[in-house]
Amino acid sequence: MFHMYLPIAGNSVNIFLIFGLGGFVGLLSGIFGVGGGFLMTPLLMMFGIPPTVAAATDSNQIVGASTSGTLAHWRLGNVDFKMGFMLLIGGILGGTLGVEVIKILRAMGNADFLINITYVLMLGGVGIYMFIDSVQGLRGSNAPAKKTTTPKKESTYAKILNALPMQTHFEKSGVRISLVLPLVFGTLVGVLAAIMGVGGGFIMVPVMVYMLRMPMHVVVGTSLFQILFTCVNVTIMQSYSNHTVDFVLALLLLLGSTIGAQVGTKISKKLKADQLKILLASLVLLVCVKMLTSILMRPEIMVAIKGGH
Amino acid sequence: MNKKILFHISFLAGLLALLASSCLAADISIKLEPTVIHISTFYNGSSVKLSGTIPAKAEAFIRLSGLDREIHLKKKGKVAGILWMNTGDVVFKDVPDTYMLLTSIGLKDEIDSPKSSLGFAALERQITIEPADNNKSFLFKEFVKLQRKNHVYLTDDNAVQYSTAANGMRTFAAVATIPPKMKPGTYTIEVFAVENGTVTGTATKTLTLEETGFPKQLANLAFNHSLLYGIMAVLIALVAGLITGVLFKGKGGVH
Repeated sequence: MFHMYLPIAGNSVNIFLIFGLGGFVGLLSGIFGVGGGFLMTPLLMMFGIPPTVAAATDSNQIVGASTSGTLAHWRLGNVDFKMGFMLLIGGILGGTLGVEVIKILRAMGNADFLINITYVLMLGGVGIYMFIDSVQGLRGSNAPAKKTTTPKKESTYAKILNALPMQTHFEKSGVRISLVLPLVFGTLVGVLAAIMGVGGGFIMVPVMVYMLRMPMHVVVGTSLFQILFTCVNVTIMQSYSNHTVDFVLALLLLLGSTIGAQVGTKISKKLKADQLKILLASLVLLVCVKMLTSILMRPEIMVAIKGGH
Repeated sequence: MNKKILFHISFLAGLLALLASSCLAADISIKLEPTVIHISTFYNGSSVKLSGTIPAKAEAFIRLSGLDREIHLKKKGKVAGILWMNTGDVVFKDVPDTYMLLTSIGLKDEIDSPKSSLGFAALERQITIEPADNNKSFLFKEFVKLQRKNHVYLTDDNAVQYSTAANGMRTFAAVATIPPKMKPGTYTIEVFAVENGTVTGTATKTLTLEETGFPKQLANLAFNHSLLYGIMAVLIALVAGLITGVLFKGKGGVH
């Protein structure tokens, strides 16, 4: 009665279950500015969707969720379009480069090993750093007496940033950095995202916070804006080349996720930047632990269908 | 003289026995209801009633299989002594998408016995693996585990019911559950009459699963007009996102 048949995925799903799943991932997307691909794809696979279809369909639903999220953040004045475009250009370059890198790695035979190690190191490193940083931030804000206005010593990283050419003011983010920087980081994230087979939102967000030093609320909006474009591209490419986008499934997920993204945006506005960071750090670390467990424990079944992440 | 008569009698008896057995074999039958399953918008799997006749002393072993294809798999193994990950690709050829074995308790062992000509052992002999230097038996067992987990390889050793025998024959009945994951296409359903471990006869019918209505139109669009399908999927997602965004603003939720 409450099931619907998905002609591309070749399976039927419970309408409310998929709606709820979309809502949950959309909520996270709205709060943190991540696409949620790294959560949605494994969850869909758990409900019997083939890996390739799960990954491609997820991109389709992220188009809707990030449109809704970007719109909400844009109204709040949280989208830095200039920065977003620079990161996007870098992301496209990096994505193209990443696909070539993965081809070479596959030919060399150690691709999966490298992908897994990259995943664990990236997630672990980013998660731990963010976690410690936000805990320190929360402690600092809880003890206002300790707050001093003494300027910090300029770090080596800051010195390098200031020395780079094409310094530009990014009004929305309130930072003055070189145009080269978002391009380079966009490319790097693009390469990693292509290697890992994900949208890259959960790497892009920490990069914007720590490397580009953007305020957290602008980061979330800008990240969603950038993800929107990436996923439009992936959806069309996957539909055209691999026929793996299940539109019915995407639409069901969308109904949940667009609403979830709106609610998430409201929650995000109510939380402090450090609270947001600590929650995202916990989420990233959780995925890292899951990944680590899966490569340290003997799998229940020693073969898997090829495709997906 | 007596010897000659005796020879003729035994020859005739043998001939009658042979005729009788071939007649019985010819009487083995299987009937499906329905023979075509329509996959429509709210389809969530179905079931097929199977019935027919077999010799009274035999038991029925029913096999549903179909859509043989190539399946690309990733092998998992240990890397650097501690990490479990993909260690290579392997291709299974002539593998059915669905493999369902239904029987009664008496033929339970036929399902997994390595000597069986009907169960998984028969399937293992049918398929080929590339590269050939892989441990076929191990990989096949793991593959069956995977397919069982996905509910496309099913076994039930208590699925077949029998009626009381009449005229040396008895009827059997079973219900095959068709999981929603079974792809559209034509499947073969065979019944084997097994007596004392030997197959004495068989009968075959086909079952068709076909998409109708919305699923059919959507699949046609996705496979035959894929670019249009991709653009449409993106546009609808964009519009849905915008509408939700506007609706939320209307309620005064977002400032």
